Amino acid sequence: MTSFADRLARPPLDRASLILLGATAVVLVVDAWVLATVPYLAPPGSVLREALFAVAWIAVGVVAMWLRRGLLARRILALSLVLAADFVGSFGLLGSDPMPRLLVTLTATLIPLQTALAVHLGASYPTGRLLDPFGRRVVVAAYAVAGVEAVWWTFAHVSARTCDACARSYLHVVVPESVHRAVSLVIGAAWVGLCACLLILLWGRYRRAGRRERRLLRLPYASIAVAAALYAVLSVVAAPRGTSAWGVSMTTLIALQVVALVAVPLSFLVALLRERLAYRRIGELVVKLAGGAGADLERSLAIALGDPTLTVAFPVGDGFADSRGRPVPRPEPDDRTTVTAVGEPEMPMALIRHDRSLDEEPALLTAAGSATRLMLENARLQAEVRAQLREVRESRARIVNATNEARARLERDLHDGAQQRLLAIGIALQLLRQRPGDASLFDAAEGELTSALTEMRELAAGIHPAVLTDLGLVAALDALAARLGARVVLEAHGPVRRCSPEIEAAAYFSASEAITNALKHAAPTLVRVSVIDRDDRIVIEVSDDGAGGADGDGSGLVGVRDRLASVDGTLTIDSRRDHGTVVTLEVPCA
Amino acid sequence: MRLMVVDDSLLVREGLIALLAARGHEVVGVAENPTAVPALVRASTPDVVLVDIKMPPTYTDEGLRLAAGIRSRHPGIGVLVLSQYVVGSYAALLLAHAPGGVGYLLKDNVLRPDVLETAMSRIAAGGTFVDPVLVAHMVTADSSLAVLTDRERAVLRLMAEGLSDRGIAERLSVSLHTVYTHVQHVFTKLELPSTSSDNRRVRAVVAYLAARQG
Repeated sequence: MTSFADRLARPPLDRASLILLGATAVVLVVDAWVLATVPYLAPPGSVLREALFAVAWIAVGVVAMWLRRGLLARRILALSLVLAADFVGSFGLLGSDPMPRLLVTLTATLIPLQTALAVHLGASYPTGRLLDPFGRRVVVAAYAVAGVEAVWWTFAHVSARTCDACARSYLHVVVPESVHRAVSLVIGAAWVGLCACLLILLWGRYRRAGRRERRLLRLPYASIAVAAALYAVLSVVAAPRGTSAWGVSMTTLIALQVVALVAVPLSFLVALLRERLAYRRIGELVVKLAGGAGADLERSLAIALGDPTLTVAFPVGDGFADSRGRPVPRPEPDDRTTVTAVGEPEMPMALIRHDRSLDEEPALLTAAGSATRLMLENARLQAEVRAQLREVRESRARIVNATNEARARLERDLHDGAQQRLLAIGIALQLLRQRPGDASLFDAAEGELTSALTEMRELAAGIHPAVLTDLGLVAALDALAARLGARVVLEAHGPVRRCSPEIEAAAYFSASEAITNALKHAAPTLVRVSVIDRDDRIVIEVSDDGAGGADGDGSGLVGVRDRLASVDGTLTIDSRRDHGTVVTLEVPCA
Repeated sequence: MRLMVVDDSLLVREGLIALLAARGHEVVGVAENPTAVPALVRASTPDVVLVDIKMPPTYTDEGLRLAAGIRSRHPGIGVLVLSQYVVGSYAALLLAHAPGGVGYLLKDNVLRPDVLETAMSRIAAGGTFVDPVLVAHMVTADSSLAVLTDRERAVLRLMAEGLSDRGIAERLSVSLHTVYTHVQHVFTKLELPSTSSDNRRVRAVVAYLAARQG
């Protein structure tokens, strides 16, 4: 994960690219001087073509450098430099003066290097980096083949065989035609294999790319693919003969190749400019947000950054929420996406999950982040409020439900217990009127009366124990512990203040629920309850030596949490399996 | 009278049986849940079945449904629903399914021999009985009855309890004609559709009161 802070400053122009550009300029001046002074074989059209080609690449390299795409710019400008250096070598300089011969000797190695650099550029487009092992292997292989070919060309330059008047390399040796053909064929085959690998590599990348990345890759990848395919065809069929196996003339093929090779830098240029256009959308975003139309920030950002899959998550409480306050999992990067934090990396105000390709445009992300910073903060606050509101609503609904359930239970207890018993007593008394001496009727009535009294007392204690109102929390918990038997012990404590009735009630019933819960689920031998008066809070700890592994979201304790939350109290559970459970309840007590 | 007792509480069931027997009634059948009742009713043909309103399995409307079932299959057998709920809607529901031959008695009133006897005999004769305590509760709670005079309100209550015009006249010591006039006024003022049958009249009045009670 990266942060906007890292991306804030607009970086200076890439130094290596600048050096490469300077070198290219120097070489071009030398080229012009050579072409003006030394005679050569190639027609002016062909010179123009090569010049156009070199200029196209230099232009793209400069644009890439200007857009702070340093690595890509380096790859492109390196290719431009070699193209410029090879410029004179490819025209068939004439004569046997030391000057043209030296130039031919030096440039013979450059034509194969061009191909390897082109493969490197194609394989590392659009970032300039090679992250996958397959891509790295293809590029290494390309440099290896280029090395071999360079050595071969140094000693057996093609022009030496086809043109008698051409300047000879100082290292030139005469090679039999059959050997020449065989070696050319092997090297050609190697390039075909490499071109195939490059096509496979690009296809795989395209398939894995996200929607935004695909849109950016489509045109450049298509032109690279066509150029690579044509180069492969030329390497095999055209090198030794004048026409291809399919009867297409050499000239046509070369023309096609030139078109493809010019198309590649042009497509790069279009892709770069298209990215550049994205900044205008940021401008539009700013205008739109200033106009107050930023209701759906996520959508606005998605449009501005050209990434329909973009999502924004805000840190809320312990988790994350979307702009509507709905809880969402923490955004995690995957094959196609990256997560960028806005604000401090440790305490981000928002996490933006976006298409991987945006990583290459840190400035764009920074611009979008800066433009929307206030809005994002605003949206985060809104998301937080919404999330809290949702929690409050849910909690309130649970409290209402719990209250209704408690009422229904109370009604059932009264109707099925006390009322039935009183009715039975009434019936017994009626019968006694007719059979005054019946002792069993007296016994039955008395028994029912005793049971009814006990039931009423317990019921009343369950609704609101009088001792809580009269003597406070500790006395009430003491009475509860006494009622529950020897397994529940109220431990020593200092003096505990009296709090407001609703806080004492919330604390008492939460504690009693926690104790009942422990007795019911943990099968403990002992439940300890302690009450501590600490500053402005009352802390009740209910610890058991039972099975542990209690779940704070289990319905019993959710009710407790809600009840405590209604008086701004809190509940924490520490429960590891086989280590018992400690439930800590805290309520404010002013 | 030949009676049958259906109640899931042992205490109440046995008490009722002893009480009814002591008052000279013959208890011909006993059940603790609704399942066995239809067969028992067919076999023992009681005059009145006393049914607890809440019974297993769900403790919701088993008693009311059982009452409707018995009434539809055996028009000659009355059903008295014993309830601990002072809730008009239960009575209205009972009457909606079976006008006539049914009654709604609060359990406390089982202890009052006169009320219990009145209820059972009226139901056995095909009439309707609604506990006076419930009716009084509903009438007191209903502010819309302010349009009625005291006398009319008294007539309304007795109508709701299930009394006939003659019964009302006797209770209030007035002439039958006077009762007839009061009844007409009550129906007009409350905008109730007038009806010829006593049972339908009870149903209409109880439904009105229960609906007003909400």
